[in-house]
Amino acid sequence: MDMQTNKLKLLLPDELDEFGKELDQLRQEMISDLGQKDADHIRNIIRTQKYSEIAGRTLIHFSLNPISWAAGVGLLSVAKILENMEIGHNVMHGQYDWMNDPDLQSQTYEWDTVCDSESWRNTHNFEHHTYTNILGKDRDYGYDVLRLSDEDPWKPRHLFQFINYGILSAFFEWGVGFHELEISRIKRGEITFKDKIPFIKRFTKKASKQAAKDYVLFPLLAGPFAPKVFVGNAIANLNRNLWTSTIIFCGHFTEDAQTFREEDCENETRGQWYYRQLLGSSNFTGNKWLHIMSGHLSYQIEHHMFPDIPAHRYPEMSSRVTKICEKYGIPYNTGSFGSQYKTVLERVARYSLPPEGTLSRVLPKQLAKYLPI
Amino acid sequence: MKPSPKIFSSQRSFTKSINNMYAASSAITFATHYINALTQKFWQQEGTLQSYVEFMLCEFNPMLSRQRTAAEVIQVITETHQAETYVLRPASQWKGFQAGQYINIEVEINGCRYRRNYSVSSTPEEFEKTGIIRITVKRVEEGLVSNYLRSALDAGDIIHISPAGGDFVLKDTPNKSLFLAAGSGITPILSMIERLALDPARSETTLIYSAHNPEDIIFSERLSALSESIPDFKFIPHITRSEGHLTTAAMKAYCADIQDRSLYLCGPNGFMESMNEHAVELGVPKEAIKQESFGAPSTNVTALDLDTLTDLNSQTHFSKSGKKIQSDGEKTLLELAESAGLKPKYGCRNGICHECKCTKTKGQMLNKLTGEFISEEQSQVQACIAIPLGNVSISNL
Repeated sequence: MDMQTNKLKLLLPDELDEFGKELDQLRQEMISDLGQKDADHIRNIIRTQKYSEIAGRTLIHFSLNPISWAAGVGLLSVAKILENMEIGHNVMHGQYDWMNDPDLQSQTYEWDTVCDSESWRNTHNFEHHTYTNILGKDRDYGYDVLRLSDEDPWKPRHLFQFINYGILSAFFEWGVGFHELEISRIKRGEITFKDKIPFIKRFTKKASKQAAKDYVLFPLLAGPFAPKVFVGNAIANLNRNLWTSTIIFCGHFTEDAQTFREEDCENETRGQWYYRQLLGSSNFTGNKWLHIMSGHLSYQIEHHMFPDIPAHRYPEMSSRVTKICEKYGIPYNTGSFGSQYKTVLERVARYSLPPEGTLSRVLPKQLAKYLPI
Repeated sequence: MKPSPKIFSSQRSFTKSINNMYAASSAITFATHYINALTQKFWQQEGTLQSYVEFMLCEFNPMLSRQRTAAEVIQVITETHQAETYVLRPASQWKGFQAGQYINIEVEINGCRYRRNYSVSSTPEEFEKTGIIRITVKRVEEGLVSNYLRSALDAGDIIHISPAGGDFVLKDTPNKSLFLAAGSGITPILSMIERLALDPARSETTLIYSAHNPEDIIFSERLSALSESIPDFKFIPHITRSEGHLTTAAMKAYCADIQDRSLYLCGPNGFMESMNEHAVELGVPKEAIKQESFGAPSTNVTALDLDTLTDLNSQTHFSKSGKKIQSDGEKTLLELAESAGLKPKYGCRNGICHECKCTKTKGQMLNKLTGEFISEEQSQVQACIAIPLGNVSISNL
C-alpha cells in the first residue's frame, strides 16, 4: 500500500483555511484559559517523579531481598519515564514558559537522559515538529535505521531490520542522543565529521555526566553492594528506553500515518501545516496514567498541532479536534494502544521486504553487488 | 624548694587541657567556617543534587528553601483606604538592608510568577532586633500584583523576596536634610526618617509629603508622632487638592534653607521631574539630590490602541550587544535582530519550535500568527512571530 502525499490535496484551499482558523481558535481559547490548574498539574507530576526517584534509589540501595530491589527498580523506571515524557519533553516544548518559573523554562531545562537538551531542541522541536513525516527532511522518520516507506529504496540489510529495531529500542536514549550526528549525511559526504565536533563535545559532556551518575556514583555509594545498584540502574534505563521508544513509534509509524514529499510542502499555509500534522500523526486510547506516562504523546495529533500547549490539555482538546475533523470529513487516526502498536510492528515487518512482487527482481541485483564478479 | 613532680604534672595537664580547649574551639571555628564555605559553594552551583535537596527542604518547610529566599507574612496592616503594610519575616539567609533600599518580591498569581520592587518601610534596627521587615504597598487601579497582595495575602502565607537593592540610602555625612515624597514614595523615606530618629548625631530634618487628599497620606499618625517627639524633625503634609501642586515658592516657604540641605526625592515620575527642576531653580546643587523613581505602574492591559504603538520612531534595543534598530510595526523581532547584524538562534521561523525564544525586559508586542497581544508582563517571546509595538528591550541579544 502506498502512503502518499496526495491526500493533503483533498481539501480545497478555502476549506483548508477554514480548518486552520478553527484550530487556531481552539488554540487561542486554551491559551487564554491557562492558569493555576496547569501549574498545579506539572508541579504534582514533578513531586510524584521526585518522590519515586528518591524512593526507588533508596530501595535499590537498601533492599534486603529481590522483591524490594525490583520495587526500587520499578519506581526508578517510573521516575525516569515521568521526567523524560510528561516533564522534560513537554517543558522543552515551551508548554510552561508562561509560568515564569526559571526551573520550567524551555530553553534552559536539562533532562535525565544522555541526550543533550540543546541538541534535542534542535533535532526534535525544530526539525521533527516543523518537517513532520516529510521524507528526507524529518530524520525521525525511521531514524536512518529503519525502512518504513517505499520511498526509501530497499536493501538486503532491511531484511534484518527487526533486529535493528530491537537494538534501537533498547538503547533508545543513545540513539536520540546521537541523532544530531547525522551519520547518513556524513556517509553521503554532505557534511564532514569535523562539522560535528561541537556537537560531539556537548554530547560527550552530557552523556558522561549521566553515565557517571547511574553507573559510577550511585553504585560506589553502595560500597560492597555496588553491583546490584549498577544492574538496577541499568534496568531502569532499559525500561525507560523500551517504553519511550514504543510510545514514540506509535506516534508516527502506525498503519495510517502518512508521509509527505518535500515539494508538496513548500509554501504551506497554516491550514496545510495543521492538516499535515494531523495526517502524519496517530493517537492511542487509554486511562489517565497511560496518558501521563506517555507524556500525553498518546494524543500525538494534538501534540503536533499544538506542541506548546500544556499536554494534559490534549484530552479536552481532542474532542474538539475530532469534531472539526468530522465536519471536514477527514481521518483522525486513533485506536487502542495494542492495536496501534500492532500496526507499527506490521509496518516494520512489511518494509523489511522489497515492494511486493519485486523481491525476485531486486534481490539478485542487490546481492550481485556483494558478489566478487 | 622544688615543686613536687605531682603538682608539676597536674599543672602541666591543666595548661594542656586549656590549650586543648583552645585548640578544640579554634578547630570548631575553623570547621564551621569551612562547612559554611562549602555549603555556600554547593548552593552557588545548579545541578540535579541541588534541585533534590532544595525539593526535600521545601517539602519539609518552604521557609527552608535555599535557592530562593522565602518570607512569611506575619501581619497585614491597613494604612489608608488604598495602602496596606505587610509585615514579613524573611528566612534566615536573608542578609538585611539599609534604610531606603527596596526588595523584589515574587508572588504566583493563577500559576504565573510576577515580580515587583517595593521599598522597605521599616528600619534595619527593627530587623536586627525582631527579624521582621515591613513593606507598604499602595494599590494601583488595575494593578495586578498590588491588588493580588491585598486580596490573597494573610498571616502565615509565604512569598519570596530578593536581597535588598538600590542606592537610595542616607548619606554618611550628617547634614541638614529635606525629604520630598509623593504617594507611596513615602515608604523608603519613612525608613530613612525612622533611622535618623534613632541617630543622636542627626541634624535638622524636614519632610514635605505631597498627597492628593488628606486621607491619602500614608503613615500620617506615625509621622505626626515623630514630629512631636523629635524637636528637629518637621513634617509638612502638602495637600494638592486644596493647595495645588508644590511650587518653587511653596518649597522655599516650607524650607527656607533648602539650598544648604541634602535632598531625598521619591515619588511618581512626574513629581520627580518637577521637584528636580524646582530644586535646581532654588540653587540646590545636583550632587546634593538623591532620588528613587517608582516608574509608571504596570497594569494588566488586555486591549491596546495599535495606532499609538506603531509609531515610526519606535526602537528595539538589544541590550547585550548594545545595538538599536528602528521598528516599523511589520518586521518580526527575529528579522529586526538580523538586520541589526546580530546572529540570533532560530529554527522553524514559523512559531512552532521555540528555538528563537528571547527575553523581553520592556515593551509590548504582537503575535503575528494569532494576532494575540504580548503584554509588558510576558518576558519570554518567540522572536520569529513577535512584532515589536513601540519601544522594546531585549536582554539576551
